[in-house]
Amino acid sequence: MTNHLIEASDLTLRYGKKTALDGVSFAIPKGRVYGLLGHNGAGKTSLMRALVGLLPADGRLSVLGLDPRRQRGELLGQLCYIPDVAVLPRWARVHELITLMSGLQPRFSAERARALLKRTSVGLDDKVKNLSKGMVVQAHLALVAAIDARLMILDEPTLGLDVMSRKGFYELLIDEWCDGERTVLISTHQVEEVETLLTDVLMLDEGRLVLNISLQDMDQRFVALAHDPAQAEAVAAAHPLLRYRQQGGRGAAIFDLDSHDSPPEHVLGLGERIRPNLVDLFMALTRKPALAPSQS
Amino acid sequence: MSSSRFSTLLLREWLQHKRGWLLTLVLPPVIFLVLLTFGEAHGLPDMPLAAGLLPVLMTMLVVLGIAAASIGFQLPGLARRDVQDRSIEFWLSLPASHSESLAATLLAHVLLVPLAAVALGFGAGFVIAAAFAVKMGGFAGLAAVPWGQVAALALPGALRVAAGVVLALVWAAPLILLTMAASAWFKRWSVAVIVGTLVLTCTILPKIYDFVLVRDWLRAQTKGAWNALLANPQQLADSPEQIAGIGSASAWQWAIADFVGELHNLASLQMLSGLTLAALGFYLLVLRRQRAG
Repeated sequence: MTNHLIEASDLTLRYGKKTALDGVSFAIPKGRVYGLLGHNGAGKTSLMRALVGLLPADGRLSVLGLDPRRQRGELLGQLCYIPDVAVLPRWARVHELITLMSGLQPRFSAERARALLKRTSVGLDDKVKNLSKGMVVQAHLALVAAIDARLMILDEPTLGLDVMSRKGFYELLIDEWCDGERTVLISTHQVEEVETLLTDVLMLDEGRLVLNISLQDMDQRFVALAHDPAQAEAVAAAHPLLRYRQQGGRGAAIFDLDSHDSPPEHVLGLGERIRPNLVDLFMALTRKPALAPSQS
Repeated sequence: MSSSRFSTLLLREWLQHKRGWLLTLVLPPVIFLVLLTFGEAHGLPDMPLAAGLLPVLMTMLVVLGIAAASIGFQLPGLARRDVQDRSIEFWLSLPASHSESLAATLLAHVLLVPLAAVALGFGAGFVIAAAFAVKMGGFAGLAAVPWGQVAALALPGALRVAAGVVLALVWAAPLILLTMAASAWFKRWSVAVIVGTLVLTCTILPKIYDFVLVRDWLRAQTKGAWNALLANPQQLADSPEQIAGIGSASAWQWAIADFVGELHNLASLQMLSGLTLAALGFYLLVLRRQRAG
């Protein structure tokens, strides 16, 4: 019996000649907040849809011990899922959606949904078509978070929302759903916004998994070096993953200490070691898709 | 298939369409009553029983006809409803299978609404019949109508029509499902595809190549649906004197015999081919929904 909520092995998904997922393998345990990062078209939504059985993928895939394609109904009864174009039916009132979800979702608690909705500015009698986009997404999260599940899959949940709505969404998610036992998989390309929430990161680039790492391990594996302009040449010669400029114009470079061409010690002495942020790492890795994923 | 989930899917149809349904079913009798209040009533037979019975049956059939026409207009749109209002991803994120979601939509729109139309038309028919009686003969006219006998004769008729709706649906299923499937797959081109197919198979091919298979099949299917509602409508249009002569027991006998006669017609190659095509239409709808979103 495995402890992993999701296990994917050599997952491949094609749309005609275009490969959306190319031999993706990973495992997600309980109690984690995973970020699935990637540019537009990297394969995030395809992976999410394969995880909930909406798209067929080759390879082996198990979600909550179930085959998503063959046991889609059973699976959707045990997880929370907000798709990327999360549009609640515009004709419905919020209390009607609670009634419908009570009948359709076996693990849904109407009481909990009402309690969660109280944290938002959405009223039970509000019609979806009268709500702002941010309010619709908050209402959707409140409904979905009222499902007693071990896994929540969110596909670009805050796409198109303003800063306040995005902040409200993530606050609701962390405060009301994450309890150390449940796992969330959030797909986004708004990397900087989710960095503080995440425990682990999956990075997709053109259908391939280029990174699968916990944030804790990330700090040990990747190092950023802030350096003076005079050292730029020597730093560049050590083949960093990415060279960039920090705020204030100081040069910086990111190195992968696990790679076969990791920088020699003297290079690391050329500047000041700083923690690479996720955005820079994302840029570094998705510009270098050939980098092998970590087998963590 | 979970029964509570299916009933929730039916509830969803009610929540989404209740306003339209109520308008379609309730408004026509209300308008007729208003018109009757301010207009003149004539054309009803002099016999009190027939004068009570005919408005009941006519109202029921008119409300059913309006409901059927309204459903006919809505059906192509139903196939793409959730995709068009962009809520399909929400519905697909819930643990209801594609087939039960589609079955609930179909059941609600093509069976439950027509049955509700029969029930509502039957009830409204009595109100209209009473209004007619008052309009023509005052309260004395109202009292002259043998309402118990009217009900005893109208009820078998109403139940025969209600049972006929179910049978008609079986006959019309391939036409309904293939039309919906065409709408789901061809989207805005569906009308052109359907009209084009009908013109080609019912007009051009029979004329030019003497190929009448599709045309004749469509005719037989449509005829089956009409007959399923009422095999011998002429009997209802018989003279008022004859209606007055029918006792309640005879009315039940007629309704049962008429229905059983139509049941026998189900056991035919025509019906088998229709059900096969209906299954194909349903499969195409499921396939489209699987790929939606």
